[in-house]
Parts: sequence; C-alpha cells; structure tokens
Amino acid sequence: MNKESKNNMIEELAKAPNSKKLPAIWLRWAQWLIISCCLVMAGIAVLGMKHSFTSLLSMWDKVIEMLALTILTIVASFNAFILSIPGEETRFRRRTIKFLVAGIGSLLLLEYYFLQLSPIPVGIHFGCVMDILILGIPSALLLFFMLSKSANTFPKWSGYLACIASFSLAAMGSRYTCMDISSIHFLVWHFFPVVILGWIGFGLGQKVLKF
Amino acid sequence: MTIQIMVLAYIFMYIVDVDYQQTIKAFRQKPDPQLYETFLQNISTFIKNLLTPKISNHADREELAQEILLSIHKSLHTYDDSKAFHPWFYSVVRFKTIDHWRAAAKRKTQSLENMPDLPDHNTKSNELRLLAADVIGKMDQLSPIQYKIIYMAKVEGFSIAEIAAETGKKESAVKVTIHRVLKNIKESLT
Repeated sequence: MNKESKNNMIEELAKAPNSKKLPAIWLRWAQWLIISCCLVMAGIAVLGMKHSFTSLLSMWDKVIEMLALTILTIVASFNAFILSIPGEETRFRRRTIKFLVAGIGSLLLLEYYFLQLSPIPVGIHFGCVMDILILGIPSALLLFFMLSKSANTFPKWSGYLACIASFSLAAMGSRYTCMDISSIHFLVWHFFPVVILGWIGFGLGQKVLKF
Repeated sequence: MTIQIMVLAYIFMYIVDVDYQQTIKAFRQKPDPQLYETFLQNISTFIKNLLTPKISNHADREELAQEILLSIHKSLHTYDDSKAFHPWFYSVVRFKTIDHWRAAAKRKTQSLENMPDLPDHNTKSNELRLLAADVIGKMDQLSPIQYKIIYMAKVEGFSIAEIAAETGKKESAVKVTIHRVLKNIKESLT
C-alpha cells in the first residue's frame, strides 16, 4: 500500500465514520441471560415438565448441582462478553472456568459414590442429549450473534465459553424434562454433552467470531 | 536518567492517549468526517511506527498496516471512551499481527510443498563430464604449438604478450590461433 492508496482508503473510511458505541458488558450480559432463561423455560414447556419446580429443590444434593451449574452459566457467559472487547482480556479468568467444569464433574461423581446405595445402570439416553440441544441451541445462537457484533480477540475461547454457558443453562432445564434424577445419569447424559459441546465451540468460535 | 526518560515517555503516552480519547468522544457526540479522517491519519502513522521493528518486509508491513486500520475502523464501536485508549488499540494490533504471522507461516509451508522437484544433480554432472571428455578429445587433435598456446591462455592464464614471447610468435598470430582453435572446438561440439 503506497501513500496515495492509504490516503484514498482513509478518505473512503472517513465518509462513513464508526461513531456508534456498544452497550456496557454487564448490560449485554444481562440481556442475554434474561432472554435465554425465557427461551429455556419455553423449551421446558414444549418438552413437558416431568417434575415440579419445588420437588427437585427439596433435595439438597440437587440444589448444590443446580447452584454449581448456575455459577458456571453466569461465569462462562460473563467471561465470553469480557473477551468480546479488545483490551479487556486481562479480566478473563481461564482457571476459574476450568475449575468449575472439573469441579461439577467431580461433585456429581462424589454424589453418586456417597449417596447412591446401589449401583444404577446408566443405560443409553440420547433423548436427554436431544433435550439439551433443543433447549440450548436458541440461546447459543443468540449469544454467538451478540458476540459477533463486537471484536473477539480470542475467538476460540469466546466460542467455548458461549457453548458452555448456553448448554449449562440447557442442562439445568433438562433436569426438569428428564425422569431420571440420579447423579450418575446426569453426569453421563447431561453434563458430559455440555463439556463436549463446549469443545465444539472452540472450532465454531474460530470460524464465526473472528473479526 | 533511564527513570527520567521512562517517566517522560509515560507522561507523553498519557497525553497522546487522552488526546485520542477526547477525539473519539467528540466525533461520537457529533460525527465529523474531517475529525475522523485526522484521527485515522494519526492512527495509521502510529501503526506504521509500531510495525517497523516487528516486520522487515515492506510490502507485508504495508498490507498489515492497512488490515489493522480497517479492523480499527470496524471495531471502534467496542471501545469504551471512559477508559484508556492504548490497551484497546494494542490488543487489536497484537491480534492482527499474530494472525498475520500465522498466515505467513502457513503460506511458507504450502509454498515449500508446491515447489517443483530439483533437477537431478547426478544427471547434470554426467553431462558435464561427457562434454569435458569431448573437449579434451578435440584438444588432443591439435598440433603441439596450438595445444601450448591454448593451454597457456585458458588454463594457466598467461597474457597474449607472454605467450608470444614464450612461443616466439607474433601477438597477432597468437590471437588468431586462439580464436581459430576455440571456433573449431565449438563447431565440432554442436
């Protein structure tokens, strides 16, 4: 690019100056969270609720699971929005995400080990994976759309966090659409798919979120 | 002295940073193409100065500078004008530079894979050997005086005057002999 072509390019860009400003990170995050919760609740209504809202919350181990998943959803989605702003990458907590994902898996295993009185056959339940996809894809699409409007300097991690956040929320919702409430079933057929979908998010992020 | 220079550099950076911040705030409040153009001109100079120590190839540097400027224009809406400008700016430059290096490394690997096979060294040297044998054969057919003149001129590197003195011939005769012999060898080889 010589000086003349550079000046021409600047003149063209100056004709349409980019004077917009993106809303604050917390505002965009809150918008996504509220809409996603509504989408997941609509999804539960479509798939059919197998347990009442309070029945699961009366079991303390299930409360801990839901709390852990809620924290994962909140932390992952907020970090995804942080990474969408150049210069804010220093606020990204990679270790926290890894700790949360590993922690929830360990929690479920420990729950099964200490609280299950007899071994329960896990079986094949691809229907649960389909439920998670049905509940999670709309919020994942929304999150990817919101992130693509900004400038992701770590597109792979942004994609991973977007998938983890959306499908964790879906996994929480799938608790209510699944008959089986055992922790080992939840670990194998609800939580592992979330982890795998998170890894798929790495590739998607690289393709979709690059600016 | 070093600390004083560093302090001055930080103060200068702060002033420049505040200047960019205020420029962006100003054209967000009231979009002014002239102000925006000045901002882009200043930024492009800044980008060029940043890239000069990192990228030696002039063409690559210009291409990357253009890419970075375009990215800054497209992503300027993500900059929060209540915060410092430089972290945002350096983050964009760093991302695009790393991307450029990755693409350059990939291109280099692909160009090596697509390179045609090198000619067989053995075939070439065999051809040269045969040619040398032909020339030596032709040299053996020369008269002793012609052989001596050619050998002194082309192998030992004597001048025309020295050869003339050694062989007892005139310089013009030596020149003519050399020219005729080389012409004959060349014609017999083609």
